[in-house]
Amino acid sequence: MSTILRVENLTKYFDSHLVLDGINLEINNQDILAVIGPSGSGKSTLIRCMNMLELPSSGSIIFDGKQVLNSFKSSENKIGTGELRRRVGMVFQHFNLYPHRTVLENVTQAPILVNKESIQDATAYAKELLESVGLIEKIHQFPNHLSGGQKQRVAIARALAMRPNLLLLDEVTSALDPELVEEVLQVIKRLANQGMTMVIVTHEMAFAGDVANKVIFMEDGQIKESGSPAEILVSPSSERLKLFLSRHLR
Amino acid sequence: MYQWDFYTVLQSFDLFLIGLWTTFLYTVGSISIGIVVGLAVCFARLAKLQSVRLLARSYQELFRCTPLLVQIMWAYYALPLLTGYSISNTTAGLLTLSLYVGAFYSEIFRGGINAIERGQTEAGLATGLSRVQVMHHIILPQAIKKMLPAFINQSVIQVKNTSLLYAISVAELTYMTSVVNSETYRPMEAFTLAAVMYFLMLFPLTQFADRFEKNLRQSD
Repeated sequence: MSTILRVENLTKYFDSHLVLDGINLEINNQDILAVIGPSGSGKSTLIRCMNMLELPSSGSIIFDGKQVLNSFKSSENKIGTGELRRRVGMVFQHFNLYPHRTVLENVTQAPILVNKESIQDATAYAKELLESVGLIEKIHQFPNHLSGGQKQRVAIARALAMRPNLLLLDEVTSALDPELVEEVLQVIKRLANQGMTMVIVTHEMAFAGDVANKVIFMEDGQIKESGSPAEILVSPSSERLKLFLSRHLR
Repeated sequence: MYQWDFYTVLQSFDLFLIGLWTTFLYTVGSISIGIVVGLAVCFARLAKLQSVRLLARSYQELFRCTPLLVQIMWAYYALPLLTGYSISNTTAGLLTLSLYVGAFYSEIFRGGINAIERGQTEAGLATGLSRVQVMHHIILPQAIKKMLPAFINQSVIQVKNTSLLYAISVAELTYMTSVVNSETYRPMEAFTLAAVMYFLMLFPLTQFADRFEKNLRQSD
């Protein structure tokens, strides 16, 4: 299996506060990595470092064998944030759809502006994606007329429109009403079956166990345990993980 | 009981028209330059370099915290002493009005941009857009809607502020009104007429701003 993204000795400070403390991990193609842990453990900061929305204080992100630079442009043997983010999609907790653009325009914007796709090509693929997330009848609506679950499915389509090599999902169901969670999880499950490589920060333990092939448990900015879903979720070794799971698995 | 006599002042109606036209020119001119200045200062305030931010901030405070009339007098009477070059009342007037309104516009623009959630920028960046593209395609279209009511409000004030150019004898509406007054000795009619002209120019603008703001609240 080839490695798509590697994190090496990553640390991150917010002012003097250490939020990531020496993180090392590897994501292979077609991996689905679930990141679990209590709030404030650094999960979101870690996933946001993977596409440089947060800049590491030290350590490296290696994407597709190339070190990631803190500049927009790529250089020889190193990859800039522009190219990195073109190839790594992200879905956010609060959707962050563009309220002034229709559903369709939300999805076609980056392919047209960044990948220089023609409007026709971008529209055709966007329709295909919106069809697959069950929103084809909403394409000319504005995001504010959609439910939370629908918004998040549009946001997933928007990320997929760039045909990413890796998809980052940052607590994508945490802002949803309970009855809307399932429709979003279904879409992610289908992506998993199609072989999409993903990093999923989540509080949905059952879902993580179901869909992921690797799980890491974070606390205080460190990876405390990592392994298969069976190792982490079914037979946790540390007391803290047991305690964490007992609160989240019911 | 005062005897109104508009006939006398209306005989000088051409002078009012000159004044109106001049007021219009100074308004359009200073607002246009003010927008450019305001945008530049707004982005300077958002710049990474602290010295740039500080410079922009100093400019804003200097022009916002001194009276416009003092600025106009200073540009016309004091600046030539400082530089050794005389400056026409036209240039001094346009320059001061533009820099003054630019300082206020810059804060209105900055407020509009800052009102857009950080998540919008992040969503744009995360799909590979550059910072300039994010500003152009995501932030500004949303920010302009938010800043428009305050922008119109400041522009309404700007129209009225052109009347301060009276002090350096620029032939705008207030100055021309005073000319009519000194020729006709009918201050009541002359200044009433001037007030009506200002009102007719500005009332539609404030109405538009109100309606726009209401629409904005409904669409949110």
